[in-house]
Amino acid sequence: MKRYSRKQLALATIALLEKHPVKEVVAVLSEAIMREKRTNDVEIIAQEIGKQFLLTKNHLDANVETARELNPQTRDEIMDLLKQITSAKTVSAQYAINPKLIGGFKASTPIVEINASLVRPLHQLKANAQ
Amino acid sequence: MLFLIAQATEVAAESSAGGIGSIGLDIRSLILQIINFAILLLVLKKFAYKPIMDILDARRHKIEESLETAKKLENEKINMQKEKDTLIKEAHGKAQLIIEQSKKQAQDIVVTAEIKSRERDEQLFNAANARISQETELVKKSLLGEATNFIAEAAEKILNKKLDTASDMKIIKEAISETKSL
Repeated sequence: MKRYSRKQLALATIALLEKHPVKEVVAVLSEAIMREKRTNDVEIIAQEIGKQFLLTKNHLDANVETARELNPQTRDEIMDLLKQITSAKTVSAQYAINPKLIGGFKASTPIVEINASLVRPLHQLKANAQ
Repeated sequence: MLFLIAQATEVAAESSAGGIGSIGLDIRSLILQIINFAILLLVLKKFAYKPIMDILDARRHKIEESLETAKKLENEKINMQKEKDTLIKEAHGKAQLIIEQSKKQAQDIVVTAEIKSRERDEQLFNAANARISQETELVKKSLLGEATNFIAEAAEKILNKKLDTASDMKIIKEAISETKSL
């Protein structure tokens, strides 16, 4: 059985998404991953899909975490920031509340991670102290 | 020979009848006495004088040998005394040299021991200094770590309690503009 590279899987997924609903594509991809016994690589494959999305479609998927609910204006500012950094034309973001961040925000994309949370310098301080 | 002597005596007697005989000397008896004396001399020379001279020569020779031996002995004694003096002088010199060498060696040993002792002291001092510095650094680091940890935890707790939504939004906006300016 042929084993596909992450890039091949990502490109195939993007191609399938153009013609089929997301749910079906996810099912096919999951089956392929299970068949190839690559469940440990799921996160990396997902990142690769995001990366290839950005390269082929200029679209960026991002996860944004904050300690509190963001207002629309701040959300737009974060979107603009991500567009500027990655040169993506479109950005779709998943927002989540994470009180452990204390304040600030953390944005994760397939190609870059921005950690502007208040907990980061505190963790760095603790790490340096040890 | 006796015949010849008798003839000579007669001739002498005849010729001296007028000369020496006038002063009362009997020339014949004189000649005989001379002959007797000559014979006596010969006999003495043959049997007495030579052995006596030999004995005297032997004795003289012996005395000379003794003197020579005594002289040799004296010379040997002098030489021995000289040798003895030389040996004593040499022994003194050697002893002095040995004493000086011993003193120098002792001084060297003392100096070496002092240097080694000083070096060991310095090493011990340096090692102790290094250990104290190391331990001080460890204590400092440990204290700093604990203090930093305490500060971080305190800051975390204070921020959790004190930070409101408006302040958080402000912080986010500041972070966005800082990231954009990079």
